Amino acid sequence: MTRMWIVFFALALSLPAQNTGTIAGTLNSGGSPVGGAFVTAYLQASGTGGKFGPVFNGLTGADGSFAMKGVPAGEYLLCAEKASAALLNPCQWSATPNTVTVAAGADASVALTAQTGVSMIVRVNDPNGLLASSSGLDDILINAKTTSGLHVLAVPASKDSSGKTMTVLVPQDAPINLTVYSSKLSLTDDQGDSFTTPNVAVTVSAPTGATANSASSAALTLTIQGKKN
Amino acid sequence: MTTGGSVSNVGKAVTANPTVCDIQDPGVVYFNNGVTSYYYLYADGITKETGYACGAGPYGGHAAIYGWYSSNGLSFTALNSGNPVIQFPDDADGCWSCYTGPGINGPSPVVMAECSCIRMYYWYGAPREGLISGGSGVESQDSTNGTNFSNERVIWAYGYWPQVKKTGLYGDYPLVMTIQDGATSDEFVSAISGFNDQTWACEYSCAEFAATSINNYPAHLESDPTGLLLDTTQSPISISSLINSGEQLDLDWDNSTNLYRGPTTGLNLFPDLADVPTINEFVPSSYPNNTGVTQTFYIIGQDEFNGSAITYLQPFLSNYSGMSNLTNSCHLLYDSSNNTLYLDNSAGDFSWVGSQPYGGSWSGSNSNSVCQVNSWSTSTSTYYLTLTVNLTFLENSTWYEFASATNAAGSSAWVTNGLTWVY
Repeated sequence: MTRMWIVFFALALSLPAQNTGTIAGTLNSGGSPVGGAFVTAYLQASGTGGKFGPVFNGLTGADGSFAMKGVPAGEYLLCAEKASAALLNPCQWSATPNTVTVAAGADASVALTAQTGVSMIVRVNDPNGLLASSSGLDDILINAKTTSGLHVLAVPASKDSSGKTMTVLVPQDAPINLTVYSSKLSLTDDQGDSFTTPNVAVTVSAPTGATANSASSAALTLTIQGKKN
Repeated sequence: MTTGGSVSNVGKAVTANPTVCDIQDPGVVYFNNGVTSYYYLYADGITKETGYACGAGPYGGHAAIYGWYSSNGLSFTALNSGNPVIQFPDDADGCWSCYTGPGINGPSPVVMAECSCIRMYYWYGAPREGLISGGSGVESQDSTNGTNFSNERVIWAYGYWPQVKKTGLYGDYPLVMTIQDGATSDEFVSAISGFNDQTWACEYSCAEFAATSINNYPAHLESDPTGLLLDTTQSPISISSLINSGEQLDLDWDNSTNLYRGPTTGLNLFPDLADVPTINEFVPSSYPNNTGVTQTFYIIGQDEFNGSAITYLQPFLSNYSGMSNLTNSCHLLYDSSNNTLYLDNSAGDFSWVGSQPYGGSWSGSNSNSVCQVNSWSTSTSTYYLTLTVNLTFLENSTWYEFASATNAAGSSAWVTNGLTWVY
């Protein structure tokens, strides 16, 4: 069986292959390479019919290097995440976006850096069992302002009979501005002070000494006192 | 081998109508379509033009994928009357699919439980045509009868002769793939998918394996007849602890057989698959019309594992073309944990002016100075969470569409799809 096709096809394909390039680079945190992280490249170009542009992933090696080959030419926004290392995604926590432009047939290199954070715990105590009594009552939303000006949202971690726990990944040992929202529930903070408006700004710090994955205790404890009138 | 009719002895030339030149790159699966079970054999070939030798006609015939079926795996009958089962339309102005040019090749069929179908992976080389930028790369299509293929999708933006197998660890997924990524036939890379075949991560930073395989074929992955990857003990992969960030599936090259095989039982060799979701679509129901006062929008988030794993879905309409300025915006947030929709103030600073549990009443306001929420609902399918929301715009402007989605692993970047809504 002839493999002459390979030659023909390879020659014929050399032209379209020039429409793509490679994104290669490194990911570091605190001067050390980050292995096993996902680097995601979002092509800053629209699809058709309301579709978003394609997304490409690269997995970093032990030396923090990554490569995405054959990506279409264009400008990309680069993000990086590694949940098990509590890596703060530079897409959310970098003051300026990490972008790279891939020219047709060329390689683009980029050096990404990301901070290591801590999974901050927010505990919501519910001594009267209101959350369990009606699912429509739970409109508690907690978000943390990032250095990019956008916010990241605390995600539900667990629920139990006496309340629920939420977590949000934030920088270590640094004050962070949280917005606590609820229009249906009266909340008090750790000191028993009432939240009088639906949106309350709270400044807290991740527990000192907390590293990597998770703090062991709540940085903020809220208590549901009752329904709002 | 030249064939298009039946094959009773593999390797023996048979007469055929229509005649097909240079059948090669075979792939076989055993598929139960719910009624009957057959072996399905696919290979690429080129239809011979009438009056010309193979490859000698003005168009040279199309490089395409042909199929056969068999109840015993020995005697095969042509599918689709000997015509291709996957092909591209002719191109009257050139020779993009002819013998001396690219076409569609390298079938790698896998039986997928998720669609009860044969999913065909193949490489596509058709400049100026198709879904892939530049017309070259890997695609897939599905068939429930082995003959009629549809759902054409882009899989990989470059490369030739993909070999795709399923691991069966989470349904069909992850998939593994080896692919020739260079112009010479000894340059291979391997990759592993997430919980669909749209997201892949290269192994070893896409470093090439400089392996010389049999007859310069691309690297083959050993599998059972349904395309299930087998490990070095000839068994399906069994791994007790799947998700360990930074670990990778190691496809071992076996020099004695020139085959790639999966790892031995018990190794934890998968990348962190708890990836963040992506935004698939943000489109008005009136598309492509993009003007008006009141409109229903669909915002679709995609999670590799399960659409219901998306905790937050956030559409953002702004009259600035970038997310560096959030003022004057219609920013919504859907929280799947309490099935509630939130509306941000028009400053876009995540200070919520109102919220509504699905089916309940609004607390606070259902409008800011930019938009008013009239109604909304959500639906979840396998990988997707769709937010359907009807908005009335309260301010004349051009509104750029952005969105982000969040799951337990994190959030997608805020990205735009380039669409605008004009009021």
